[in-house]
Amino acid sequence: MRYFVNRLIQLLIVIFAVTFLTSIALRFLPGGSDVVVALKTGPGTTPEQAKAVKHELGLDRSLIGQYIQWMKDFLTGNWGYTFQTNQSIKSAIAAALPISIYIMIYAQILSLLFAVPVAIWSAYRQGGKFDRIGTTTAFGLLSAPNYIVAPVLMAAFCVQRKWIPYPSVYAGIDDPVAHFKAFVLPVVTVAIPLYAGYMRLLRADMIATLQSDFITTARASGVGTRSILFKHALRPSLFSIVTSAAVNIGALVGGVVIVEQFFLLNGMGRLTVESIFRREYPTVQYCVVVLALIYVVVNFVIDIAYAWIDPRVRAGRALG
Amino acid sequence: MVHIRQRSSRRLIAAALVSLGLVAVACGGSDKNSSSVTAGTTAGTTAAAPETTAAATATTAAAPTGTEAAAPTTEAALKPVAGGSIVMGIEADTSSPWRPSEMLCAISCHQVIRNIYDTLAMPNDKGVPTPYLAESITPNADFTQWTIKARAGVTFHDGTPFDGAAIADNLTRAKTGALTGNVLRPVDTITVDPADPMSVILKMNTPWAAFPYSLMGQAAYMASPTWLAASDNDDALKSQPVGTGPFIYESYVPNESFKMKKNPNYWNKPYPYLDSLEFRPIPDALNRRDALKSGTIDLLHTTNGETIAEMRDTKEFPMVEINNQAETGYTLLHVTQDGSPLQDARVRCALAYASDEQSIIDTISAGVGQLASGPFAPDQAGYLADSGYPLKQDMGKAQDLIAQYKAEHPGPLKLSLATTQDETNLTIAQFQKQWFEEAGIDEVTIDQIDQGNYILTAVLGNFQVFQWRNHGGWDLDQQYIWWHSSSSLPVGQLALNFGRIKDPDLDKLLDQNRASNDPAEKKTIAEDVNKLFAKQCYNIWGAYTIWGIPHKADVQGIGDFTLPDGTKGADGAGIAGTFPMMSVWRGGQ
Amino acid sequence: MWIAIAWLAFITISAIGANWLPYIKHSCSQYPNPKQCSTHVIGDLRKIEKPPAWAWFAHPEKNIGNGPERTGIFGTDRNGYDLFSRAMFGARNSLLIGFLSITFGLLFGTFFGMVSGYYRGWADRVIEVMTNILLAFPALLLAIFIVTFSDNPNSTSSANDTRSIGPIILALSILAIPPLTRLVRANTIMYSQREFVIAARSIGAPNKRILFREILPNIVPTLLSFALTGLALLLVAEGALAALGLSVEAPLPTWGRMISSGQERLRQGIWWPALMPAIVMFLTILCINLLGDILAERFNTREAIA
Repeated sequence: MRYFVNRLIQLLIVIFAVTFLTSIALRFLPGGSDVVVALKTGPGTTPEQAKAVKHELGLDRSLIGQYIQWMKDFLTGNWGYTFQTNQSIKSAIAAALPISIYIMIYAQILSLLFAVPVAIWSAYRQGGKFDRIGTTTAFGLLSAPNYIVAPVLMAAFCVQRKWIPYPSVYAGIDDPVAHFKAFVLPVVTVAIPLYAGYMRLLRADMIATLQSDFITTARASGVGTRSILFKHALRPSLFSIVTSAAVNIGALVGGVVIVEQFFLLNGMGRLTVESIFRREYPTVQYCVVVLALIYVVVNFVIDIAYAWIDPRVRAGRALG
Repeated sequence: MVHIRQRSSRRLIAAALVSLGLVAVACGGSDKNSSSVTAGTTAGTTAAAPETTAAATATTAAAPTGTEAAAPTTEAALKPVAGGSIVMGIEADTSSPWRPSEMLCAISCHQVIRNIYDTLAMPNDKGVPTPYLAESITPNADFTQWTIKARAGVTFHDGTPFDGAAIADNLTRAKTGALTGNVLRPVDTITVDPADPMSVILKMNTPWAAFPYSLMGQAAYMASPTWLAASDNDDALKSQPVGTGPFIYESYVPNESFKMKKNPNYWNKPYPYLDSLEFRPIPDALNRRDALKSGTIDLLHTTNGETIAEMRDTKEFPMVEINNQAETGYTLLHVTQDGSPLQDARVRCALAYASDEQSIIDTISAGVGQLASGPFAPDQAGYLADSGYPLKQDMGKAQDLIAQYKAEHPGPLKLSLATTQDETNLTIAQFQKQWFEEAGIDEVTIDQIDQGNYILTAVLGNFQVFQWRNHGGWDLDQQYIWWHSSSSLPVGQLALNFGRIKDPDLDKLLDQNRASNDPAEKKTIAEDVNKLFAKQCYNIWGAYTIWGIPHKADVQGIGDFTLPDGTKGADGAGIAGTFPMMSVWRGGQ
Repeated sequence: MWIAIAWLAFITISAIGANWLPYIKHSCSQYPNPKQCSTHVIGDLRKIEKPPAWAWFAHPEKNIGNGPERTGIFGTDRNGYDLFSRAMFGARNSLLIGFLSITFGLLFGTFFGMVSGYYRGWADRVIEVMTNILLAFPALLLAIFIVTFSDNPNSTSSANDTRSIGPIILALSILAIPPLTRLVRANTIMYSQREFVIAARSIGAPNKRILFREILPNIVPTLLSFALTGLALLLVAEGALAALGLSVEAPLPTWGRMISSGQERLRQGIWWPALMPAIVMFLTILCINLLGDILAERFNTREAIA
């Protein structure tokens, strides 16, 4: 219980800090708040207009005052409109979030689907041919950044063979074929390094577990291979990979910018980056906060879940 | 130890091969686009017939229409059919609300919004402004007063009647806009004619004979006063434009699509033909081309040389080329910045001599484009094949000029070139850097500015050398706001005269042209302006812009429309590179 | 293992000596004033986009510029720059950025990590919270934010108004600090509980001395292997920034920038401007990762990252 409260307090502090920093960030931009004003009202801003905009954005208040106003807006859903196109920021984020989440989910599933069996078999037949090839491949894949992989995939499937339209045309789940076509290449690009990382983690842990005593005992008492691998050895080895996958849930939603940008999918990463380039500061603020919140909350849930599953964690943390 | 070493080096090689394997898949065969040269290739690139003086018109510049790729079947023989929809890929999304006086409107914006808004006038195929939404546009004897009469029987999409009050409302608002306000600067008062509610009287503070030219562009988009009033306080409403045009706003998702549907009560029968339109911004030229090839869009517009060259060779997608009253691509110089070496004409001309624009056209633009000798394209008033501007690279001369300057001004010469994030522009900038350094500039830095800031940088004057594209139109008067010293403001303030040119000779010529009604005189004035630019090297001219509009074979009627008075409309419809969609239809295959 | 080291040595030497080494083409001599060859590699209009000399299967569709059909070890790009030379100069820039970033990350990360792990108490809490805050911001977006917003759109232009290397290094260092802090903290905790530290403390050795003399030397091996992996990651991150147009001032090459500018041409079937530097970068990263991996195995770091 104390652990839970501890984590909760930490969570709240982080949330406060993140929101506070982003909400006051407008003031400290180079060029000052005048730049923001000029962007909102365009060329030919009169001083009255400037004052009105500053008031609207809370720039004329104290730091705390601005923060309070910002939080109020955020919590009531009054997120305002973009400077230049007058689009509701809320609907922009609401449209972008599902895309990033799709990519994240599909990439995780795809990578784990391959990583787990390959890792298990590699650990089982450690040093064998399969293992060697598998590890080498993973290592190579890990070293290939996604901005190299993405254009290669694109060249192969969109230019040479024209199976997939480029740029990707987003389609919702209701149109499964188009949906698949829109997401398959970005998901593969993201999944490749994920797979490599997961595979190595699980393999290493499996190898360690397979060498432990209780496995030797089980084997000695005649438990079958399949049972050993899946029932006995797998469970304890999952620690690292599950942690990693869980952390990635939060990290991937905002972290696939390059892939989104390349395949022109309007996910959260792309939205944020485009907003940064267009100097749409409020949009950037809300995007960053949403992404940070997702990340932080997911991590919090993971921590609590672990503490609940494994009492050692609770005790270990408390002691330091 | 040995074991590890072996494993590692094998790992290394194997891992490398894995990724190369990915590469091999992609690069199997260097299959390029099929290039079958057909009889239908267009020949519209090179200079159109040299300009001919207008005969019976009040203003200058005859304009041969842009040429069209002759499809195997003559399109003239086919009759338009109503129905169908079209998706067009455009260059960019417009990052501003859709209110005429507030729009930061570039070509893509005009291409979209001119289907919702009509302008008061449109050019006919001779380049003469012809009343379009207006019934008539008449001056008084000395051009200090103009009367615009609204066409009868026209209503906005929301039912508001189109009358003198509507025109007055729109023009008054236009006067407050950044761009449009500058265009309408000579306008003193705008009042509805007390004797005729359909007419508006504008009093000018200076004789403005060329006024109708300004009624073909953004300053004359007519939006519904009801909507304008309602959206004054409603930000969301600002992006849902209401006009009198052939299409009615349906939906707009920024960076994705702008949809509109047919206006069944459009006043200019029989237009429009199509049932619905969708515009998709696809900034990357290659993406746009691929979208057309894969069938996702039905047509697109592009200035990308490689795409145009490729489309000229492709039979599958006929292409219309619009190059009349074209814009010119050029490099802008900031000429009155304190302490800048560009204040000296020798330095500017040295840059001009150092540039080898023709080779840029040949290599980067795949040979598409005509070398520009000045701001005016072959069918614009003032065009001169030889304006005195150095068309060929002469590095020796450039080095001489710089040496002269340096003799008088010791100390390192530094320049900064501003360009966008776009790779092609960067490539050009890198060549420029090389040329300028070879000419003798000690240090040239390249400053890549993201798109959102690029225009702001120009407008504020925070640059020395800047890549740009502008100066479409027919009459010299349309360039007034870009070149007159009254549009020049100190750095840090927003001004349309980006280069801050303050040249009394230029001012005099521009003012003369504004007041003149004599075609011969105007032609001479425009040519003088051309020569002045060449002598002063205010800008480094690049190439005249060509817009290619490749489309699916069953898309017809691009650029082929008739004005209400029966004359044929110009392809570019008054705004370089755009064309109205109302005459476009599908079928005939 | 030795191949990896050999490759890395080659890259590093080329990077440092790019100005003088004979196999790297640069044409400073073309200019009368040696200060003028700031790009070091000269673009040649006659040699635009030529495939590498050995690539017999590649034909550029149009023989632009009437030059030779193939040229160079890696070919040339759209500006006529020789790609091999650019890759070597790029090595210098990329490695410099990566190296400086990881060094700063190490300095700060180690400092915070040791303070946090040794002194515990409220310092530990504060540092942990700050680390978490930093981690909460999506990494790449944070970097993009920092780099973009160090550009002041209102500044009057002088020849110095271009993006310098500083913000990029700053952004990348900030990315590196949280994981390093965590790692150092965990290791510090572990070592603080060992006998020799307790022994030192009991003789009354001052804390600073303990930190530097006892704990730090033990952490260094772990740090080193992690730093190598981190270096590889930062090189990739620099490429990511370049892919978004946020690299150093043009036309200075870095690998990331070369790859991203070559990407566009890839779709036209012109593969060498993107893939040649990609291969170089890939091999370098591979070697760095390999070294880091081997070191990690040697020092068995997994337990330390509790």
